[in-house]
Amino acid sequence: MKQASFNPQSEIRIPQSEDRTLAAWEIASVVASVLIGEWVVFALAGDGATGLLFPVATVFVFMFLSHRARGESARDVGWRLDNFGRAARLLALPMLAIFAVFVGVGWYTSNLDFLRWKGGASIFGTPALGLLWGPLQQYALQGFINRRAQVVWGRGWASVLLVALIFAALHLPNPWLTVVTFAGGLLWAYVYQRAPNLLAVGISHSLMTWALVSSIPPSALHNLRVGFKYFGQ
Amino acid sequence: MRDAVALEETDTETDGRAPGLRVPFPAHAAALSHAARRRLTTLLFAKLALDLIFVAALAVYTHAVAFHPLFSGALDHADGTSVRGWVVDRARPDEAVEVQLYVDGKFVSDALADQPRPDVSAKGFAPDERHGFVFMLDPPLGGEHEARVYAVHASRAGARRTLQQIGSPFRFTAR
Repeated sequence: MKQASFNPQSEIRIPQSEDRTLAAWEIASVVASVLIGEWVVFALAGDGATGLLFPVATVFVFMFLSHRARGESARDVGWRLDNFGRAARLLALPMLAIFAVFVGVGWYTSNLDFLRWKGGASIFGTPALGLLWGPLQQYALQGFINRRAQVVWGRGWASVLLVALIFAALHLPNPWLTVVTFAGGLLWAYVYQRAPNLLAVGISHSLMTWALVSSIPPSALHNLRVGFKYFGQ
Repeated sequence: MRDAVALEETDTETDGRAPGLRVPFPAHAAALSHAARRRLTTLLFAKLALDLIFVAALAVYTHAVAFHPLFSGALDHADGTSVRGWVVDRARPDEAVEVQLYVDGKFVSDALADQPRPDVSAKGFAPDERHGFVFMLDPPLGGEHEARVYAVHASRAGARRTLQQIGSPFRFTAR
């Protein structure tokens, strides 16, 4: 049986090629579930959320079992508070800059409305949804895909770029969302690799979504629709 | 005494610009054991199988619901002034079916197939004779054209409407 390979200089164990292949397949499997939800379920079963239960349930069970098989704890994945401050500091400046750009665009085009959320309902009426959605997406994106991408390519620009590309591709064919999620994906993946904290990147995700929705009219964002649903009314 | 390398191998400490050892892979991405590799492989195959079964089942269910297989009918005649035929939904033979007319691939009109067709009931397709359709073309068409008539089937409480062609396309030349 093959032994784990070692970096002779630092004695850090490097994943074997089989492990990298497995990690790549794990990424593909999670992406496939999201694509099934976005493109197949909405095309065949329509808008009802019932059809989404299966792909959502299977992908979360799969990620949970994969963490267990690899011996990853919740803390490893990023559900922790000790590095929240560090992650928040890394995120603060880019978030302020992006927030300023969004608000500037919204103010310039007279579309600024911080109470706009899903075409009329106030975000303050749905804080749970808003705050839950970001961390959940970031868990799948960073806590799983980013970690597996690091198994494949290690830390650095290659795995960060892969995470951003996947995140953007999952928002196709919505053009604006694809662009902003690519930029957001780069930022969050970079920050996660330096300070893996899912609460920080998740809250950042929710706040940036709020800023985006508040600054750009829903019609321009096509009501944040992605996948097959993008082509609906 | 704590091992200096182990200390640096945590995810938060492996920062390229920070002092200390740089770790190219996450601390916990070390080589998998044989058992873990087997578990992951099994997990991947199980999920792939479940995904395939789910997509196939959804496709079969959608096809069964959206593409109603129980329409009978024919496009009997078309000329420059009218298009005629009949259609019966054999699952609900006492109800009139909505039909749509397309000429040369373009939508022209829709109607309810509720015109008298004694021959349809005489042949046993429906208990009553009101299953014919007649589209009057106004203004009349000239030249060579192709007519197609589709039965409209609503599913998902009317949210989805699918079209199913009745009979064959009818090519006609009008003077």
